Amino acid sequence: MKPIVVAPFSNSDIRDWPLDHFRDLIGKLIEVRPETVHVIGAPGQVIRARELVRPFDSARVVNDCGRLEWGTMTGLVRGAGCVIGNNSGIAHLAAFSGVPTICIFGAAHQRSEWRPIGPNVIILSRSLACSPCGFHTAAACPFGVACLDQIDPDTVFNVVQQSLTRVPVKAEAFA
Amino acid sequence: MPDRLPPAKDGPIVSIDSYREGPLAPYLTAKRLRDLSHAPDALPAEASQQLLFAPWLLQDISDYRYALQRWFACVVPGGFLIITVPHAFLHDRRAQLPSPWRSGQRRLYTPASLLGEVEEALVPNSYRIRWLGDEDAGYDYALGRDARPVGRQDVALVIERIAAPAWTLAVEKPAAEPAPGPIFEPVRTRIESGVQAGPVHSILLLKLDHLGDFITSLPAIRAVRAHFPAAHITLAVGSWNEALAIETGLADKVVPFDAFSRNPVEDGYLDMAARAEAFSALANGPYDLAIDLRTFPDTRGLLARVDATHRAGIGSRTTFSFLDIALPVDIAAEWLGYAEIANLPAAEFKHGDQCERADDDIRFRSDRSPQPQFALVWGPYRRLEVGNYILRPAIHINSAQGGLLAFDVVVDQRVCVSGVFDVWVADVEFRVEHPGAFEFRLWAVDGQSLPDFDFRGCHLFRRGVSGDLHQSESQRLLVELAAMRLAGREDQPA
Repeated sequence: MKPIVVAPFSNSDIRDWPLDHFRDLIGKLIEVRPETVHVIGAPGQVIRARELVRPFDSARVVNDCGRLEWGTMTGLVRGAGCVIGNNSGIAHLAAFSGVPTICIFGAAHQRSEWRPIGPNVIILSRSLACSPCGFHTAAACPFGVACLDQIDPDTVFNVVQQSLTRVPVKAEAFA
Repeated sequence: MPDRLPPAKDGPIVSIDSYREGPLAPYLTAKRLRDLSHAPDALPAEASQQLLFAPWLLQDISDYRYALQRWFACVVPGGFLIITVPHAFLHDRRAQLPSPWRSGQRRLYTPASLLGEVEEALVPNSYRIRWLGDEDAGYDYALGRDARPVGRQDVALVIERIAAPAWTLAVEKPAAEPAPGPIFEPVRTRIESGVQAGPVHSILLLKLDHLGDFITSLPAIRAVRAHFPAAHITLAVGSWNEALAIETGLADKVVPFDAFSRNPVEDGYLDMAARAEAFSALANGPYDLAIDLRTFPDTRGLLARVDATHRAGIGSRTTFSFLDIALPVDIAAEWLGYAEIANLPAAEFKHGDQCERADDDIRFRSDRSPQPQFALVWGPYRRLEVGNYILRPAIHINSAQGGLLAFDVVVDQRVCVSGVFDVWVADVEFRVEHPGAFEFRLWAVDGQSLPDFDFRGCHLFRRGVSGDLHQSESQRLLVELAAMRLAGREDQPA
C-alpha cells in the first residue's frame, strides 16, 4: 500500500499551514485510512516534526524528517499515494512527478504564478482581500496568517480522501 | 488512553543488579523503584515512582512514542526513567535489521537514535537527560562478528523528570486583526484542480493584419499544428493573405476576413467596431481554443466575440478579462518603446509648511500663502542612469480655481526640464545625461495664484526599452503558453 507523505514545512513560515492543523489532519487520516503517514522535511525542521508526530502511534506516523538521503526522499515522494504539502519544493516535486498532490497554498504568493503544476494537483487557498501580500515571515502578517489558518483540517481531509480514491492521470506529459 | 504496550518478545531478562556497578549506579538507589524487566506490562500508577527501570524493552515495541510517554508518566518530578537497549554496534553488530540474536527486535539503536526517539516522544522541558552512553564493561572485542557477544553491550539513558516551566517553545503570536473581507469574490476556501477542462479538437487562429505580420506569425502557426496535430484548425486572415495561408497548408480551413484595409495609409482605416458584427458569423464556433496572434491589442475585441472554451491573446487579464490564457507582454514597451520603472507614491516625497499630508496624499489648500522661492513638494532622490524618461505625475488640481503650478525635474541639482501645469497635468519628458539622484519638485509661480491640489505621487517610465521581443517571438510564446496549458488533451475522449 502506498504511503501518504506529509511535507509540513517550507523555507518560510508564512507559507506553512499551522502545525496544529496538520496534526488534526493526520489524526483524522490514521483514524479512517489504512496507509502509513510519513512526515518529511529537512534536518533543520526536525524539532518541529517531532512536535507534530508526538501524539501518534509511531508505527502509523513515521517521522522521516531529516533522516532521508535525497534519493530516498524523492523515491518516497514519487511512490506515495498522496503528498500533502504547502507551497514548497516537495509539493512541486510531487506535482511534477504526477503524484496526487494536495497543496495548501498560502496567500503570500500569487497562486496563479507559483502553484505546483501537474496532472493530479489540487490547490487549496483562501480568498482574502490581502492576497497576495508578498510577506516573507508570519510575523509580518497582521492577520495571523489567516489565509492558511482559516483553511480547516476537515476540508483538507475531505480533499485527501477524494484524491486517494481517484485514479490518477498519467504524468507522461509532465515528465 | 488504551494501553497499547505489547509484551516484549523473546527479550532477555536483564537484571537491575547487573547495573549496580557502573555509570547507572548512582540512580539505582531510589526507594520507590519499579523494575520492568520481569513484568513489562505491569505499569505502576502515574507519578508514583522515583525510578522506573526499563531494560532491553524498547527495541521490541512497535509504538515507541507511546511506550516512552507511558513509562515517563509513571515517574514523579525529580524521579528518573532509565532505559537500556541493545547497542547496534556491540550487540547486533549490524547496520540494519534483522538482529542476528533477537528475532522480535524492531529497531537497532545507537545513543543518537535512542535520544531521537525520546525527543520525539516527550514534551520539551518536561525532562532533562542526565546520562547517555555506551555500556561496554567487560565487552570482549576480540570475539568475531558472528560470535555471541560477551560483556555489557547496550546503550543506557537516564532521564530526569522535571517540573515543566510555565513557558513553551511555541512563539507567542500577537493578537491578530480580523482578516480583510472580500474584494473580488466571497471569502471561501478555494479547491482548484491543476487540470484545465476539456480536450482541444478545434482551434481558431486570428491573424488579421498584413503580409509582413502574417509571415512573422508562421513559426507560431506551425507550432500550433505541432502541438495539436489532431485538431481542426481554422485560420482567419486578411483577404490579401488568403492565398498564402492556403499555400502553407498549416490550417484545415482558411477564412478571409478584413478587419483592416489592405493599405490603411492609402485606403483609410476601417471601423473595427463596425466590422465586429460581420466577424460574429466567423466567430460562431464553438471552438475549444481561439488564439489572437496579433501583438497589438486592437483585435482583442474580436477575440472576445469568439465562442471558444479557451481564448488566448497577448496582454494582461487586467486589460482583457475575457482571456483564459494571457501572455502579459508589456505592449507599451514593445510597441511604444517605454516601460514603467518606478511607481513613486507621495510617501516618498517631502513637502513644505504650506502643504500637509492627508491620507496618502500631499495636499495644498489656497488658504495658505505659498512662497515662490521655496518648493512645495520635492523628492524622491532616486538614482537614475543615463537615458530618456517620462514622468507621469498624479496630481489632482482644482480646475474651478484657475492658477498655475510650476514644476521642474532635477538630477544632481541640474535642472533637466521645467514648466507649469494649469488644469491639465501632462507627462513630463526629460533626459538624464549623467547618472545621479533624481528630484521632482512643485513650486508656486511668482505673481500667479496657486490652485488647490492633491499630489499622489508619480509613475516613472524609461524610454528605449523596446525590442526585447520580436513579433514572431511574442506569438510563439503565446502558442507555447497555450500548449503548456492545453496540449496533450486533444486525444482524450470529448
